[in-house]
Amino acid sequence: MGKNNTQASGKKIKVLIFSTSDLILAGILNALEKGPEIEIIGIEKSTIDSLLSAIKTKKPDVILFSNSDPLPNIKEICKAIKDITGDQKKSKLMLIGNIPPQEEIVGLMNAGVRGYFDLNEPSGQLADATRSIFKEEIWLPRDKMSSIMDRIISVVGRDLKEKTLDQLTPTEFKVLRHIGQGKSNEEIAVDMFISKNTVRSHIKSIYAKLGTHSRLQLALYAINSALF
Amino acid sequence: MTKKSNPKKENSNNYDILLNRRKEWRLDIPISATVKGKLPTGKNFSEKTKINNISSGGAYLGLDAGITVDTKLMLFIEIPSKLTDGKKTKLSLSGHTVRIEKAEKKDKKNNVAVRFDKEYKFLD
Repeated sequence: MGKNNTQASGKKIKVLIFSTSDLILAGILNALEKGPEIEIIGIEKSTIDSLLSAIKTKKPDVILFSNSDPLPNIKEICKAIKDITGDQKKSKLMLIGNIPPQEEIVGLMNAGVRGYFDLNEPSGQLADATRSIFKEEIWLPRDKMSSIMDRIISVVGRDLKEKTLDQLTPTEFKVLRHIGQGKSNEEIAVDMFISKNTVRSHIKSIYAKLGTHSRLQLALYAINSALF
Repeated sequence: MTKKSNPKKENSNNYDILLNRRKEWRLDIPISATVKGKLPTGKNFSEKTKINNISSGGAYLGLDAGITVDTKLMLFIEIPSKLTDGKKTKLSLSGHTVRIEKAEKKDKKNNVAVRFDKEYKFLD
């Protein structure tokens, strides 16, 4: 459907390719020949910096990113691409490679990746995958989809829990409110009729539950809780 | 003398620039604030605005004032009265601008990213 729409409107899907391997690049180019509405607007083979510059200037619809060796900081690279494309609100990123464990995929999706094309998938599907990404759909290997979705659901659930203040006990919540009012530990102790050590202990527990060690961050949480 | 490139930097593909990760969650809450600072002309300004998001490390907000990167700003955030039981309290934060995104349209504000200094205080 998307194919027809794109063809009907005469608009081509502008694709930018990053590949450090000539062999894989040749495979990608060959596979994309099957999509007449796909236009390769650039190929980057050298550095991530050159890729980032090309994204900024060429504003592709889809970025196909393939790296022959696994990159330890691939998530950071995806986030950097997301930061750039976030402003453009149009470029979508798809990784091409050997599918990593589901935990890593979830992290990558969170970092802005819209698809992962496994090298074991039929090459003829790469054009379909590119069209899907262009239509703002997600492309993942079918056999991995179920376990990945389960993982995403559990991570989202955990994040939601972490981001709320529900985990705090009523006393901890009171301490947090006092911090939000700018009170010192001593003032909180006097107001709540507890010792300074107990206040410290509550604050330590709040720090652990909210994953911070900043009193200012606690004050911001308190302000947040008062706004809603 | 020709300038030699740094081979280490070249090999690492400059990935270092990509490793700047946030330590704290950002709170995506629109908070009213007053921002004070100095314009490049040396003139003081004070502007009421909304903070789009904030963490203990910095904030992202809209400003009409035509400031530049590395401008010192003071942010005054009014603490919601629900939290202070009606008492008027402000949270005062100082910081420096680290990024300015010019407004796309004339009637829109510039988006400004501010990194906070360590000091902050509550003002009655």
